[in-house]
Amino acid sequence: MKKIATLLLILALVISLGGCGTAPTAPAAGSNAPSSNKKITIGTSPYPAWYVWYIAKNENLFQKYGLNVDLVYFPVYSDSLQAFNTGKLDMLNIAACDMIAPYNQGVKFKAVMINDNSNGADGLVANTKFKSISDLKGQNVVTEYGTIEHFFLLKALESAGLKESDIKYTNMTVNDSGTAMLAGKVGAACVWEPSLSLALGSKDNHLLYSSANTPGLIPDLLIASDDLIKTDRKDVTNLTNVYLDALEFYNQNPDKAVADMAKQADVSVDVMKQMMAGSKLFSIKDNISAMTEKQDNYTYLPYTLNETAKFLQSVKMIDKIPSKPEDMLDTSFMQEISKTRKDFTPPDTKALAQK
Amino acid sequence: MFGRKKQVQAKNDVVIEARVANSKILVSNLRKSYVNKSRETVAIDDVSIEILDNEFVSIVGPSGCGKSTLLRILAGLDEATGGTAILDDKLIDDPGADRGMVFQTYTLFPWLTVEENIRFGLKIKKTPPKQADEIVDHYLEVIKLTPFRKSYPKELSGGMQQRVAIARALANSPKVLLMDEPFGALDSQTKSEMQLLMRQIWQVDKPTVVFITHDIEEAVFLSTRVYVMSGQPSVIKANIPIFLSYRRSLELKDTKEFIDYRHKITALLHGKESADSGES
Amino acid sequence: MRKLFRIRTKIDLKLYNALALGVFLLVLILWTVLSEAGSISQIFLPSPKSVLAYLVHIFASGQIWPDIGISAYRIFMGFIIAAVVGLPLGILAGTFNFAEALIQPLTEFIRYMPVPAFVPLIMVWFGIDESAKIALIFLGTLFQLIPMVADNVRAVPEDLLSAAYTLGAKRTTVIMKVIIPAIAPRTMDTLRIMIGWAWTYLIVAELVAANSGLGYNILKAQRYLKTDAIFGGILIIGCLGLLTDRLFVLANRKLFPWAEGGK
Repeated sequence: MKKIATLLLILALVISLGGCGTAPTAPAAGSNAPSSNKKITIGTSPYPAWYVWYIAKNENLFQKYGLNVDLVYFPVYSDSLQAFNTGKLDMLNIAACDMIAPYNQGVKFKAVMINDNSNGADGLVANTKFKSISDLKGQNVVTEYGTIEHFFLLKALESAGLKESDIKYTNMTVNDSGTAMLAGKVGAACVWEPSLSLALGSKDNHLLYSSANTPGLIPDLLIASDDLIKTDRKDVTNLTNVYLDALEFYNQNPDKAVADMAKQADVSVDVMKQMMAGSKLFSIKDNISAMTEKQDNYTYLPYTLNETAKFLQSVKMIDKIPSKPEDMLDTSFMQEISKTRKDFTPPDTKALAQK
Repeated sequence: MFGRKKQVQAKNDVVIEARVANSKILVSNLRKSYVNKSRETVAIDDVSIEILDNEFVSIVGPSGCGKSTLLRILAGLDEATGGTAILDDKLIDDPGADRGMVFQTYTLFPWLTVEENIRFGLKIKKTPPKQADEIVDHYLEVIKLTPFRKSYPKELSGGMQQRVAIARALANSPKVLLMDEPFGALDSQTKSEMQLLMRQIWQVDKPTVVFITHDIEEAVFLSTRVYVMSGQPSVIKANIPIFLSYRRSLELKDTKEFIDYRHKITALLHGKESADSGES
Repeated sequence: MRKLFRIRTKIDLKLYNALALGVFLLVLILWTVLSEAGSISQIFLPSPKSVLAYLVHIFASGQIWPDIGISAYRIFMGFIIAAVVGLPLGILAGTFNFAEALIQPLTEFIRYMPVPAFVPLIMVWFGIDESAKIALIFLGTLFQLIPMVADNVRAVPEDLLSAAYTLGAKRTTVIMKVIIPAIAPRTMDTLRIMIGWAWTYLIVAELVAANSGLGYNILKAQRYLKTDAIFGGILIIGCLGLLTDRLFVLANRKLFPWAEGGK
C-alpha cells in the first residue's frame, strides 16, 4: 500500500512539474471578438520592421477587426522559414530573397505587403583588425546558411571582388553569430538587427558593409499561404490594415511604440531607436509603386526578385530562376486598401533616432 | 625442530604425552562481530584452535556458524574484532602468498589460460622462467590437466576449474593452504574424484591444509583432524583426531571405522554427545 | 508454431533473418506506397526513389567522402580523448572509495546537464573550429563514461581480488593485473555504447556551427527543403553508426575470446 502511495505521489509531482513547464500559448489578440473564429498564425523573428507587430499586440490593435491571431515568435529566423514552408504557419514575415527557393520547390504562397527596405539593418561586421572587405580573405566569416544574410554576405564580397571560396565560411545562426562576434571568436559575421547592434557594441568590431550601401536590395515582406488567401481574404486584408494601424500609432506615439517594440526585443528604448533607423518603412503608395510600377531597377520588386534569383543561381543556391517573379506577389490587397484608406507617411526612423 | 611436549589424545581415546611439532597456526580466543544499525551480530564468539605443520585439518559446522569467516581471518581477508591468529609465530593481518586459498567459486582468472593461471603467483614472486615452467608443468601433471594447459577457464567443467584453482594455490608454495568448501558446488561423482585427488596430493606434498566443509564424510576422508564448530554462538565444540590409514581410497568410506567417525561427528554436530576434546 | 511464443526459446536462424528482412521490406513498401499515392508532398516525404537517387549521386560523385571523413575524425578524436581521461578516472572511482567520493557525485551531476545546451558555451570557449566540435563530443561522452567504467570495476567479483591477494599480489598488481583485465570486455562494450552517443552529439554540433560534415550537409538540405537529402543524410549517419557499433562488437570478440557469452 505504501509503495503504491509513494508511486502515485511521484507521478503527481512529475505531472504537475510538466504542467508548470508549459507556458500558456500567446493570448490570441481579440479572441473574444465574434466575427472571425479561425485562428491565424503569423510567424515573425527578430528584425526591426517586424517588431511593429508587437505595437499592434500591446496596443490591442487586432481587436478592431475581431481577429484571432497567434503571433508566433521565432528567435532563429531560419526556423520560421522552415515552419512556413512545411505548412505550420498561415503567414510569415520574410526577406524577399528567401521566397525564391520555396517558390521553386512548389510551396504555395503570395507576398501581400512590403514591410520595409533594409537601410542599414543588415550589415557585415568585422574585427577592427580587418580594415576592408578584401582583408577578409582566408578569414572565418559566419552567417546563417542559405538565407538573405548569406546572400548579403556574397553581395558584400562581390563588391570587393571576392567569392565565397576566398573566405572560410561557416554556418551559424544570426543570433549566435552576434554573440560570437562579441566574444571575439570569429573574424567577421553578416548579421541583421538586433544582432547587428549587439556585435557593434564591442569596440573591437566595426561595420564593413551595410544595406545602406545597397538600397532596395533587401525588401522585407509579409507573405500568406495560398490556402489562407483562398479561404480567408478578409482576414488577410484586415491583418495588413493592422500593420498599417500600428505604423500610424508609431507616428502618433513614437515613444510608446518604441517602448512596445523594445520590450519584445528585450533591449533598451535607445537601442531600439537606433535599430529601427536601419529600416526604411513603407507607406501604402510605396507598396503599390514597388509592386506594380515596372522599372528596370531595385525600386521595382519583381526586378529585385529577378536579380536576386540570378545571383542565387550563380552561386548555386537555387537551381532555376522563376520565369515570372511577379507571380509571387498578390497586389490586390494593397490595391483594395489604397481605395478604402487614407495613406500616410510612415515613421522616419532615421530622424527619430537622431532625437 | 625439537618441538615440545604435549598431552595428546591417541587412538582409542588413550592420552599420552608426546613430542609434537610446533604450531603452524595458533588461534587464540578469536572473536568476530559486526555492528549493524547498533545491533551487534556475533559471527565467531570464542574460538581457539591449533594446527600443526603438515596437518590436514577440517572444520565442520552448521551453515552460518562462522567457519568461512574464520578461514577468511586466517587468510587475512577479514579482520578479527578480538583474539589473535598466529602463523609461524607471526601475527596474521594482511593476506599474502604464505596463505594460499581455494574458494568455492573457483575464481580462476578468466582472461588467463590454465597454465597462466597456475603461473600467476610465480610471476608475482618473479620466479625465474625456467623454474616456473617446471613448477607449472609439475602441477599440470598432478591435476591431470596437461592437455588443457592452453584452454581458457570458460572451456572447463566445474571440477576441472577447481583442480586448476588448487594447482594455482599449491604452485605458489604457500605455508598453509586454506580451502573454503571447495567441492561444494560439484556433483557427487566429481566430488568423490576431487576428494581422492586432494588426498593424493596431500599424501605426496604434505601441505598444511585448513579445510572448511559441511560434508562430514568429506571431512573424515580427507583429514588428520576434524574440528566441530557449533552454531550461534560460534565456538569450537570438539576436536577429533582421525586415526585412519594413511593411504586412503574411496573404499575406505565403507569401512566400520570410517562410519564410526562419521556417526560420532554427526552426533556432535547435532548436539547429542558432549564435546569430546582431545587437546586443551 | 508454438515455439515462436515460448519465452526465450531460440528460433531457426533462417526464420529470424527472414522476419527481420521482412520488416525492412514492409517499411520500404509502406514508404513507397505513401509517397507514390501523392497525397503527401515531396517536402514531407521524399520518395524512396529520390532518396536513393540522391545517395547514388553523392557517392558516385565522391562529394560525400570529405564530409564523412571530417565527421568521423571529429567523433574519434573526441571519443579517444574522453576514453583517455575517463577510463583512468572511472577505474579509480570504482576501485577506491575516496576516489569515488571525489569523482562520482560531480560527474553524475554534470551528466544530467543536456549537452546541446552547452553548444553556445563551447562556441564562446573554443570558437568554431575543430576543437569546438571535439570538445562537445568529449563533454558529452566523458561524464557518461566515468560512472559506467566505475560500475564495471565494482562488478568485478570480490573473490577474484581475494584470490589475487592470497597469491601474493599487492594493490598495484591487483589493479593492473586483475581489475583491468577483468573489466576489459565489459568496458569495450561501454565504449561501443559511448560511440553511439558521440554520433548524436556530433550532429548537434554540426547543425549549429560548421562548414563541413554530415550534420552540416543535413542543415544545408534543410535550408533548401531538400528532404530527400535530409533523409539520405540521416540514413548515412545511421549506417555509419551501425558500422562502428558492429566493429566494436567484432573487436570485443577477437580481443577477448575468453569472455563469457562469446564462444
